Amino acid sequence: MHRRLLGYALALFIILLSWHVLSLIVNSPALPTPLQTVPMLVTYGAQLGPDFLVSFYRVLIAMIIGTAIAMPLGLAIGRSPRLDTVFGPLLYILYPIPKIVFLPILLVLLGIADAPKIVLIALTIFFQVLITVRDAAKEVPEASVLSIRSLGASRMDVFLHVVIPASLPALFTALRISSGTAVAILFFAEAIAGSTGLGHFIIDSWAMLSYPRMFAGIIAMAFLGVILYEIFDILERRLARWR
Amino acid sequence: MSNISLEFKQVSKTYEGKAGEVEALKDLSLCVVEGESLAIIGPSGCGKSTLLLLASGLLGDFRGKISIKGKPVTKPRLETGLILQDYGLLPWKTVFENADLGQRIRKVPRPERLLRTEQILQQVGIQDFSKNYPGELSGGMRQRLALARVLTLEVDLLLMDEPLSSLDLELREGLQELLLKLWRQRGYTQLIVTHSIDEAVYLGERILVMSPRPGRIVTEIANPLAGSTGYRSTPEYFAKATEVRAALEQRDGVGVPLFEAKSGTPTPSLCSKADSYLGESDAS
Repeated sequence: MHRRLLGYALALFIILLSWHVLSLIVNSPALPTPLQTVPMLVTYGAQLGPDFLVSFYRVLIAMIIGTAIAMPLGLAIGRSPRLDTVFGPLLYILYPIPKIVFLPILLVLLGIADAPKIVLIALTIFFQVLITVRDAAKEVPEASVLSIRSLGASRMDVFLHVVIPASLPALFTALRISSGTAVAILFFAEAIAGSTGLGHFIIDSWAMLSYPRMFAGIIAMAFLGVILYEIFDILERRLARWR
Repeated sequence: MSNISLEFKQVSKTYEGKAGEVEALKDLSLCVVEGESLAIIGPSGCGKSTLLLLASGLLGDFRGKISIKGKPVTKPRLETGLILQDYGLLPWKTVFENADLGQRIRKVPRPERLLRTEQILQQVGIQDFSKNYPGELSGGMRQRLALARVLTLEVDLLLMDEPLSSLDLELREGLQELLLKLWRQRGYTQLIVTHSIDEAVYLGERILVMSPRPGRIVTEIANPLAGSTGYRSTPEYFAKATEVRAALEQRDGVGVPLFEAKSGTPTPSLCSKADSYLGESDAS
């Protein structure tokens, strides 16, 4: 734990230092120094805090919903060649479509509050988790399945004791990879519609030409990412202890 | 006449391989008598593992008849224990959880279950590693764990696929002793499939020799001294090992041929033959 904090401190130092040097070289109001930016976190704290929480809530709920639907589906498709024949092509057609293109439709259908943003992010997570978990479920070592079946395991037992634990590491990989996309989509959706969230805060600052304020928003967004990754790490350490 | 544990009658099995159909077993017949320790030896890829999977009810879609104690095998049977070549341990469960799994699946009451698992882990000598994961164990300890997982259950037939092939010599001998000790204590029937002559001769009261694919039993060699103390260093042991080697290399003219060399028809009663062999061992 101490090592980890030390790692973060070091990373922070390197980032702030490079940022400072870069901003001195660029010498433009569009790239303020960290010294001008960091105090803004305090100045606009009263606004930034709630916006951060709203954004965090949206991503988190979307990830939970996306995973809760995709995980069982992925496991089932991965373990059943018949289901895979039906759903495989369907997935391959739908997966490459960037989900952000549905934003306008979702705004029309669901309004501009939390719902369209959550649905959009959940969709992104859904496909990523579905495909990764499906592939992991396919790759479950046959020896594990056979040996537990020889102990008298039912289909349910096989899922519970073999397929699910074998697929968990893949789930976390999928969540880590997709959280980058999730935050990007969140920014876009919040920037376009509504008046809450970090996306809105950043675009709003830009419109006001207040670059230090904008960068304070960017810092908050980075922090949001860090929290997501740390949550996945903690969960993975607890649920996939053998690794 | 002893009771028959496992019986294969003219069993054939083909797989759907990438390059078309692969014939794994062809008209294979064998008979395992209750309480005996039987070794099946054959070259790699002769269908030995297929044979075990069929016997444990994990593979369907075969021709012929497979029965245990007179009942046809159609699905995994609760009293049959199977140990696969790479042990089939679950890497995400601790040693204790792995050993406990069979009982858990069968919904044995918790206190009873935990006690028994503890006892068995002690018996196979890995109780100090209860909280470790299989990935942290040596090959020998993994094998002991695989054995423990099966022995927490009331098995009357234990099927083992190359149980010791991946272990070094010293470990292997210790584990062979353990296998024999447990077999004697518990009185189950033991069927070991192997490509190691040493293992077959040391553990098998009867040794069946399999042909290359499509596998079938070509020779049977009686080995009444199997499992006796110090057997490994006796002249009889070396003579038997030589006999098995010759049988593997030629696959006819040694032991008792079960098939007429040319016509390929199996002898009618394999079980009576098995019986006479074991009778011999009792007399000696």
